[in-house]
Amino acid sequence: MQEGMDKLELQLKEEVGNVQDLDELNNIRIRYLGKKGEITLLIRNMSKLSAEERPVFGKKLNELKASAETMLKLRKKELSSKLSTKRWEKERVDVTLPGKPFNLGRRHPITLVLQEIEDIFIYMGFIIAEGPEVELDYYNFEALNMPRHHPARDMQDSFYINSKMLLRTHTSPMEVRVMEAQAPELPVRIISPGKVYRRDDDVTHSPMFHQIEGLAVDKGITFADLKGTLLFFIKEMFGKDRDIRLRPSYFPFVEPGAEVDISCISCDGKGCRVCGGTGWLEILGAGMSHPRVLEVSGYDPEKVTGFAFGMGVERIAMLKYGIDDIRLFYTNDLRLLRNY
Amino acid sequence: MKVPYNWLREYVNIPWPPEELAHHLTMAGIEVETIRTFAPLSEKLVAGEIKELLSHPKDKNLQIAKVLAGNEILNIVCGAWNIKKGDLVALALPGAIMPGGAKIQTAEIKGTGSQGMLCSAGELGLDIIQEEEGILILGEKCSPGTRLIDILFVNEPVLELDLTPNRADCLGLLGLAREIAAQTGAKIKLPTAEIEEKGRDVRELASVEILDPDLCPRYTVRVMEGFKIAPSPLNMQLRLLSVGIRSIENLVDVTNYVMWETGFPMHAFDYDKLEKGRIIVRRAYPGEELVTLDGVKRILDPEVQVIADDRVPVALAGVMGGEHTEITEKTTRLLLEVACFDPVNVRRTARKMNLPSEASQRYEKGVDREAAIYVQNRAVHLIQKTAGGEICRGIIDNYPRPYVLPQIRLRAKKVNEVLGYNVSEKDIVDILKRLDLKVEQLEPDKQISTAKGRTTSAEKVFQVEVPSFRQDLSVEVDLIEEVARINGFEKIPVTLPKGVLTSGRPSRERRITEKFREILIGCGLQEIITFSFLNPRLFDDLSLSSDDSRRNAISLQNPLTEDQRILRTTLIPNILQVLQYNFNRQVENQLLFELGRVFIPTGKKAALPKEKAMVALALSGQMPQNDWQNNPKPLDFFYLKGIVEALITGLDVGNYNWKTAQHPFLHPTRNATLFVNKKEAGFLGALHPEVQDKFQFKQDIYIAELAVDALASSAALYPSFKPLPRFPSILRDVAFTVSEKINAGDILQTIKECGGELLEDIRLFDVYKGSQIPQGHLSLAFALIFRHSQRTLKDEEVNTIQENMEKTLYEKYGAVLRKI
Repeated sequence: MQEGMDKLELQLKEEVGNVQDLDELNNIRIRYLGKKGEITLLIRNMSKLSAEERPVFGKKLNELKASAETMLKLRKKELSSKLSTKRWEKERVDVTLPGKPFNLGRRHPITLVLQEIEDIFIYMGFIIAEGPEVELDYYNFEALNMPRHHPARDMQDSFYINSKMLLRTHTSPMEVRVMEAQAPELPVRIISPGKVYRRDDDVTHSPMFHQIEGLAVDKGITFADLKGTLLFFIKEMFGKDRDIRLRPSYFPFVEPGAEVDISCISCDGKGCRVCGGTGWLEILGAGMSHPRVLEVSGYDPEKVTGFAFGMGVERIAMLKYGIDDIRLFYTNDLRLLRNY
Repeated sequence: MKVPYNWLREYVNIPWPPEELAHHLTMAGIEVETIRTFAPLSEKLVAGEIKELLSHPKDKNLQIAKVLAGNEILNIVCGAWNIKKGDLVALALPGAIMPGGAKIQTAEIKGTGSQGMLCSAGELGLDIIQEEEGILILGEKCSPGTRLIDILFVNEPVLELDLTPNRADCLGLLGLAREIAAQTGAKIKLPTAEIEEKGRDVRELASVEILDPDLCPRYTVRVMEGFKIAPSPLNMQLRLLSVGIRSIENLVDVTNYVMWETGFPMHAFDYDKLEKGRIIVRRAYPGEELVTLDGVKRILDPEVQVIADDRVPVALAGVMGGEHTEITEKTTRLLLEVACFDPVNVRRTARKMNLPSEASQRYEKGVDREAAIYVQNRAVHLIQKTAGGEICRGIIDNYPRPYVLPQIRLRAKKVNEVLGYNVSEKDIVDILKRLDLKVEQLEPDKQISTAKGRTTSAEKVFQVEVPSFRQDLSVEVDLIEEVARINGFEKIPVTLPKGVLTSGRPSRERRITEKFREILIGCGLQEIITFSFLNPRLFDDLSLSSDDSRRNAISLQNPLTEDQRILRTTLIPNILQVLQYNFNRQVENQLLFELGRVFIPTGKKAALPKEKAMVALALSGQMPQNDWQNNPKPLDFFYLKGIVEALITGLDVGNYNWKTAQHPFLHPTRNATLFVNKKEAGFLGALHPEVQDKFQFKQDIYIAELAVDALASSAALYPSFKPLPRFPSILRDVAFTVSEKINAGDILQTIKECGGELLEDIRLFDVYKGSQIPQGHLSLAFALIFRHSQRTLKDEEVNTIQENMEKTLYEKYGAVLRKI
């Protein structure tokens, strides 16, 4: 019996050592440890042994079984690892080859800047209102305190369609349109983005460009509120370190009127080429709504006040992206647009 | 407006150097654009006195001048002959750098040493006139050797102002001096206008009639005689030159000088050329003619106000004088006009005649009517001082529309309400007074009688009288601005609006267009923005028929170029031009879109056009998915169609279908119209080969244009919740053989109709043409998914549907089921 067991163990060892694939290994397992396997049969035949022999052989058989199982397990591990290595080699990819191109398109830089500005004012409770690009002289000029032959009209050379109609030269007509539609309800708090047109074409002027108008009308709106609102905007748009300064200026539809400068984003206000050495960059126009404008739009200037502001989107985009020719926005050169 | 710093200093003390002055002015709303130095001259240019003139031994065209400069007498070789012993002349010492960059050195000229150079005005870069050409002879008395920069009006810092149109007062140096005085608290120094009248009375010599006082509220006249017309003193010429005015002769120079000083234009007529000495201010008669100072003959009409004599117009009021009555060397008597004209009329005339002038620019913004007499006197004073002569007795002052000084009520409380911070009553009054405004506090009872609105007797109310030189101040807020301005905008605190909270939000349109952008960008398209203008020629290039509605576009009256003549009615031409631009720069693969408006005339003249938001798409080149794994595939019709369908499904717009179409600029058989909810929404196709040729495209182009509204009106921004399916589905693949002439879309539609509610999804997965299919036919294979939402569907039910489907397709289209 003992001899048979030793032989069996040797035989198993040899077979396991020679086997090269997992299926064959499994067959070996079945031959020795399966239901009708040689070791299984030996265990089953123990009952035929005497009571004295049984514990001795029982122990030895269990040892044989355990050793067979270990042998098979180890070989299985060995074989699978060998096979996997082969498979992995076969399935290898060069991870440095380029990925599938998923070319995302991009927004036009003007759209990006417009949306950024809009978002800031939306957070502040402003509603977006859009209006016509072909506008009546009344809304573009007259209602804004610029009657026919007013010298301020010279500041905005216009494209006319007929004596009463033109391409709007600014987004300010929307101030009047919005107030007319809403009066006497309070508060008014809108921004109005859009295309505007002026008869100008050079490095800093484009016959078509974009503006964003802002208007807030309510009881007790002050010039200080305007300054605060703009300061908040500028810090959101250009960073916490930016400062603003207001300079008196003149737009017929506001009084007091101001030009708003920000501390130069290029030199931080020390003075450089970008800001012409002044440390400041002119960025938008603003002021308190002129009583006459409030009045023609349906609000009583004795009861409410308002502030308004308007900014050129291209100007801001040029500063933000360091572009020095406004016309680049409208040639739509893909080699440039792909950068945004 | 150019402002020479030292000239300005004659009228007010300025405690700041030029750069600081510029800053203070800018911060007070008078923007200084630049500071330039007028006529920067070398310090080695000095005054030299001619002591002796000797002829040159070797060249009779030269002479040798012995010139005293400082303690030395220098030998200077010179080729000019306008100098004589005793003259003070401009002398460049060795080391002097001339405006042209040349450096003067000791030299030997034809054997004679020359220790410098005598200079002409031209060599010094000064465009002035002299009695005789040649070396610059200095009229100013000074000791020889004095630097020219110390005696001439050169090396002068000139501030260039970018004035806002309301500040007409600052178009004269005196106005600016007032502004500085208001800031510093100083007093201005008004230049003298003292005169001594003599001889005949002006009223015997001249008369003034104003026919339309609204167009000419005031006209004053003085007459002078016996003066000597000559070049102006050197420094007056230089001052004018520093502000961009070329010298003519002393009379005209003085009128320009005083205009710069006071901001008030004026005109000198040759009195003897005025018929009967009459001045008639009137509208021109239709067809009347006038040759203006620039030599141009102008045909006039009654819109134009003229100054006429007894016979004919002699000047365009406020714009330009006439040639016939201009001051010449022969003039012996002058009539000086200091008048006020209607700003609108002057502006209109200047525009019509295309004659913007220093004068018209000032009249357009309004001159100080009350200052006319002072200006008149100042001018004749200065003429007499420079040209001599006598001032005839009296002045004609025809003043039909006397200026009424505006009285404005100012509530102290309102100042704080508008500005948002507290300015004390004392400060308010102080600031207004510094601006030369008269301020009076109203008595309580007076307040009630004059006050409107919320004014109560408890409020401090001021009555403010505005001087005539500040015509920009007319209502209460104007004064509030002045308070804020002089007090300094930097004192305005920073607060945020109080009151009801409002929820900021973009409009639905804006959210939809942003969704468009999101989808199209996700599909790999680059956004472009082009001008709203078009060249109408492009409609021909697009082969639009003569009655195509898109040709009916709005024209601009005054376009900058032909390329910007009309407002676009379609986005296609511009997107094609962008393709072209980029092809020319070797960008061959292009996927573009633009969101923008087109402008559609309503047919009614007074009505604004309809502005319709459109989206245009254009593709050309190869698919972006091409790479080292796939063979290059060109972009095609279906690639673009897929993008448009992504847009439609992404927006969840509902029903849509495509129909073959005949859009003129599209390929005749790759040409489709999109319908959304049965309404036409746009087109898609390949660019017509003929159009392609016109644009010189070497590769195929695919374009689409859709009306944003057609998609947006039914778009779901927040799609509704659809519960997950609870019962299993049944999948069926079917293929039909069908004639090529049948549209796949029709088959698809029929299958959908037959499938009814139980057909959850349908996908066409194969189009096959080949040996197993009869000639002229093709096989369309579909994957169908059936499902019942309430129970498990039975195979038999699907079989019944499928049988019906086969029958219907056969009957309608002769389609035969293929066994797969």
